[in-house]
Amino acid sequence: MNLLLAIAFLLGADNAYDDTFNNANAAYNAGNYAAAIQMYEQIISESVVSPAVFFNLGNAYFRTRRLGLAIANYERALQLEPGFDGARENLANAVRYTKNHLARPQPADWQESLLFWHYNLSTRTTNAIATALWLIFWFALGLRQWRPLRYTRGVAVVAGVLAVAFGFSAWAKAHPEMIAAANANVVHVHYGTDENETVRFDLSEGDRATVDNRMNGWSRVSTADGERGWARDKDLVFVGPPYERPAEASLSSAGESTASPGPGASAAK
Amino acid sequence: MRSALFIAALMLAAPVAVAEPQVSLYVERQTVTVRSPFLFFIEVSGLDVGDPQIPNVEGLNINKQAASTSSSMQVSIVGSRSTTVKTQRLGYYAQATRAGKITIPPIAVPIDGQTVYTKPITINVVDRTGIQQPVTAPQGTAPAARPSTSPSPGSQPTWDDAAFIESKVSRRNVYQGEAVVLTLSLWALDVPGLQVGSYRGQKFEYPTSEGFYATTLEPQQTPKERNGWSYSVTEYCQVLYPTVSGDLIIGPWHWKGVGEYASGWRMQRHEFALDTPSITVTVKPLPERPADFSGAVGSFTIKAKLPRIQLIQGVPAQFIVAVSGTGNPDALNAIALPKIANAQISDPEKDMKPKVAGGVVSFDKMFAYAITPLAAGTLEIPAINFCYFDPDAGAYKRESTRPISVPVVLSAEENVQRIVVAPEGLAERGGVDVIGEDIHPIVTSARGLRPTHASRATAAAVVGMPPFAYCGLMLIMRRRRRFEQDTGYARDHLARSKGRKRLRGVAQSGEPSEELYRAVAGYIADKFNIPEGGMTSGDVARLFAEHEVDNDLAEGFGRILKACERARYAGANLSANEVTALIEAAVVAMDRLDHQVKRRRVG
Repeated sequence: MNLLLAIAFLLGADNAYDDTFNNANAAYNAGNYAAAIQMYEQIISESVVSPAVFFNLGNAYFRTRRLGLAIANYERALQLEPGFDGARENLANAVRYTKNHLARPQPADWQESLLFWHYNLSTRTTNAIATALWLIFWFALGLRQWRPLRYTRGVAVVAGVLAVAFGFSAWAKAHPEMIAAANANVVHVHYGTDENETVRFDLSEGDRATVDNRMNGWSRVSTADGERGWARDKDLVFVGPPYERPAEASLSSAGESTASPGPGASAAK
Repeated sequence: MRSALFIAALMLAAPVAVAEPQVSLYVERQTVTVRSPFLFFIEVSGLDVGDPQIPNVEGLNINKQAASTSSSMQVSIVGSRSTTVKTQRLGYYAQATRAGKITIPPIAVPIDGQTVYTKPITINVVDRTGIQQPVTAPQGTAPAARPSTSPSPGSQPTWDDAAFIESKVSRRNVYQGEAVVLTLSLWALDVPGLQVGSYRGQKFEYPTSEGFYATTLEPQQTPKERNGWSYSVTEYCQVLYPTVSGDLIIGPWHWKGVGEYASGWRMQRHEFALDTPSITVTVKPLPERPADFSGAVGSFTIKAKLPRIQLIQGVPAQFIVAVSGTGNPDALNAIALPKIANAQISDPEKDMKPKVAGGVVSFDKMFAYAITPLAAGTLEIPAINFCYFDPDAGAYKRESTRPISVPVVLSAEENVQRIVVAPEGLAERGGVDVIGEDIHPIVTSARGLRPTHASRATAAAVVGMPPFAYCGLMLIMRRRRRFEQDTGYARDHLARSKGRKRLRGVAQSGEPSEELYRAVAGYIADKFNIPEGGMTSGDVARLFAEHEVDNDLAEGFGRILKACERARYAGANLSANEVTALIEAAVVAMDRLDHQVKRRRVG
């Protein structure tokens, strides 16, 4: 399948992913969420990064009662497209079904105010602006070499500074702070990287936390309310990038939870 | 205004009493330097205060004229009786003439017709010649963390006395999870003109404490005495909870700082680099844990409280379980409540109030549950057990709350908000259904689904190309500018193509020898950037000799030019074959000369 998609892409049949996407949508609309999930995950595993795919995948997980995976995929969609209102509202809705309604760890207020342009622009827009400014910068420099016009130096300086700022923003968007969502009914968070360590607190499915360290299958998580400790990687779903596909085990049952709380199957009705 | 009149009237009406006369003596600082003025104060309480009788003190020059005075009056009215207290503060300048301990004896003050005496006070006088450089501890490597000798009164402090550090733990033998308070003390000598502190912007770093869960407390600053010196001691405290058993090591504390001492116009500066030894704490494992062990290690009490005396069916009420004690509050999870019949209990909300006193950390941690009675009658909340490990006793202990019994009534009001739940409660929330329209539907069109590696390659090309293009353009423009500005370079560069072009026209020319001569001479003139007109074969030979052109090449050019000269001036016309041969020879010679010149430039 991977090879076929790759060949199709190389041959210019650029609708191979679109076809898979349309088939996944059809499966979703027919209530066949498992097949839809399989196909959306397939597209993502081909390194296709699209807010629409993550959003639809989030919906499919939400319909199958996997809050952790749903929330992680809505987060991914919002990470790429902060102005995606549908994802924002569906995320808020999914969080309402979580046990703790835990807020997402947020950057500091001053950071959000100062870097509003960074937080509010989509990855695609930021990349486009950074690229355009980069080209303008070099074009202005080249023009200056060719014929020193009046404003070329000013244009080059302004474009250069903005290109660096937006380039940094694009880099930061490509390497965001790692967020993880609990992917089991109860995720024990320990003092250390050992099952025998005292449990410091519990995360419920869908609770989001910042990950600042990962080692030996454990992640150090911090929640918005200041709790901190180590949780097993297998109980978490990482928002990414990289966009890790959940293990098959967690696709069939989310960690300890056999029936996670919240959204129900009646959506398929 | 009205209230002021009322108070005045009240004062007049009330019998007036005067407070007992009181007097006290104090100095603005306990340690002073020789010949440096300082203030001491006499504070007097009474209505009629006379001048204090300042005595002569050996080693001290006192200006007996009060340098500052301030007074206040306090009137208090209790019942029908008012009491007036007048307080006067008199400040006097003094100057010590010698170092050492100097005692100001009791000072007599006449107050309200009687004489009252102050208590004597002793001050420590140090010499202002400066802080002596340490002899034993060279700069930057002070191994001793504290001064070792006890100075005699009046002796001079050294930089070793000026600052030192200590680290200590509250206990060295503890159980796993038991609190250990690590105190890091920075002792800074408190003498006038001396300032000791960390470097500006330096971040305080606690020692390494692998194997401990650490909580940092706010630093405290207190004045202390040691070896006869006054110190300002800053204590940085961490509460450490060992998470594993065995010998755990708290690493050395490294402190770097700077001391500055102003002595007249002179400023002495000393850099400190101090270390404390590492501390080993032996951590014993907890004995076999009972099944209901809460994970808390310390000393605790537990209380349960239901703030209502009656509950209403279906209406939630708050039920609080509070745990107080010493130990690690973070290790304390929500208390597991026993099964309560006919009631629904929510997950608790936590609230924690930590307290630190005397190096001991204590806390009150509250868990507030929402308890909803499901049936009318009596709600029985059984005793709640809390099992913890008491390190002092070395054993597990259990605390229990008292059982609570509270009546539950049906609501008389219809508008009471009811929570209707199944008897089994909401523990299995998987049963809650979601309405289909509650979320935004999927997106049906996604533009440009492409693998990121494809767009990454495009992005790399877009980002990488402009600098290369710019470099190329820069080289082109440099060359163009050189062509415009450097005639020699331009002529040299274009000589071969121009010469070949001219040679191509020789055969069609009416005067081939004339044209060939011009083409070859023009090429040589361009190549060496000299005027073209009037050049003879002799000139060319000299020119080639100057530029060290190979002999055979010079001879080749010479032969071509001489053949042309003969045809022009001696009437020896050239045949077509001779012209063709000369043109070919000229082309070869031009190529060789170009090659030679290029090779020389590269070499």
